[in-house]
Amino acid sequence: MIRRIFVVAWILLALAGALAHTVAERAFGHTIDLPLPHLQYGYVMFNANPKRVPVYTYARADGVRHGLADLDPRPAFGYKRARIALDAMFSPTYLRDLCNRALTSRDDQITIFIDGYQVDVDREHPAMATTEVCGGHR
Amino acid sequence: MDIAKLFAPFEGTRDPRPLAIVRIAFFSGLLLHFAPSLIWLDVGYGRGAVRADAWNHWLFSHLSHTPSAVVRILAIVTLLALVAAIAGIRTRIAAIVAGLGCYAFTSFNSIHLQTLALIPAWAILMLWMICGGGANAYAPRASREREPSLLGSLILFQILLAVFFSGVEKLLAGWPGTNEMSIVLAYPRGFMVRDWVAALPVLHGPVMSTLLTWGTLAIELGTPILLLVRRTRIYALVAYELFFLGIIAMLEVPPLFYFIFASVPLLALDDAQLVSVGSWARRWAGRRTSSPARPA
Repeated sequence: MIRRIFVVAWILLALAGALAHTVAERAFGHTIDLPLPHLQYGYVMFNANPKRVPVYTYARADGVRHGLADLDPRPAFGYKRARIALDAMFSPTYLRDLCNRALTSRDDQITIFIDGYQVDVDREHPAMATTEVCGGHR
Repeated sequence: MDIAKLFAPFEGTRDPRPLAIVRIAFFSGLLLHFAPSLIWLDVGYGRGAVRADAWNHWLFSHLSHTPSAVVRILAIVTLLALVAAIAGIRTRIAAIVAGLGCYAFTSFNSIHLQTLALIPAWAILMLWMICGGGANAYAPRASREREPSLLGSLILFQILLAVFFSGVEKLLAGWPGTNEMSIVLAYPRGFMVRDWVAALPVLHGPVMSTLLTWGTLAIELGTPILLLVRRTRIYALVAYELFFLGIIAMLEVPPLFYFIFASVPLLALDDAQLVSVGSWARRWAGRRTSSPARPA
């Protein structure tokens, strides 16, 4: 009996969680806050994607460009560039932290290049480009 | 209505091998996902590290006051629990320790760990903590006895629900009319897509994006149902596996995502289908090993 109650409760909660982030959000304008961790967010997989996206590279004093992911010592098997890009998109101070951590000496300077692509207009050429510099006695 | 029939998938027993494969894949995915952050601990959890709050706010606020030696010990214990779960040693205790550890570290700082795959991961971890099991095959003390069906069936339900509602979310977001697939396929080299996807012109035209849009909707809305019907199960499984193989081949997503979504549908196979799939796999492996080696 206890097992059956558990099964029903689990299934109903899982359904409630799924509906809270789909139907409820559209019907009531907000999600229903269910405290369990697996019900906290909706099951989204690329349902809406940003059209303006950044590609990050960096260069030291020699000017040679590298992928920004190379600055992070932690491996990320098969998705290192994506992880860095998403971290930087969602946490604005992350880039500066990553840059500062990668400095090897007092005189070292790193320039991070952020090429912004408006992919629904032109996927070949960046629509904007900015840089961020850390180190070098700044 | 026959109540016993309704509950039948959650009662009785099942072949232990699919659940053991899910155990190994799932906890290996978690280990691959968490180990870099827990080994290079200072980057994400050291003093002054940039942090983000995405899960438990209380843990986010309070763990930053924990001495670094304690954080280091917690990280080691979490990693050891993940290894124990992969090996099939005390799986319930391992799941409890690993689950609490992973959740604490993700709440402490979600940067680097945040992924959509964590939503089903929390569900699977909770189920494993409650139900235990999964070590009757591919483990040092594997008894080879049949497993209770409860854990496997609830994990299967949870993942199929996630896949189905991913499709529902897409419909509600305006798919197939919004042409979101063409946006993903247009991403430049260095953002989300693998290099070959960014370089291959055939993927950037409207025909391919339309095909992939409809294919995605068909798989996400169709296979969770077709996997539950015995007659369509094998075909649905093949389509489902190709779909997730396609995702990991085209997009830079965490291995945890693939390990969860690709392994769990094996739990839908019944005993007779497992025998068929097993003998097919053995024949395929035999053909490969017996084929003459190419000259160097």
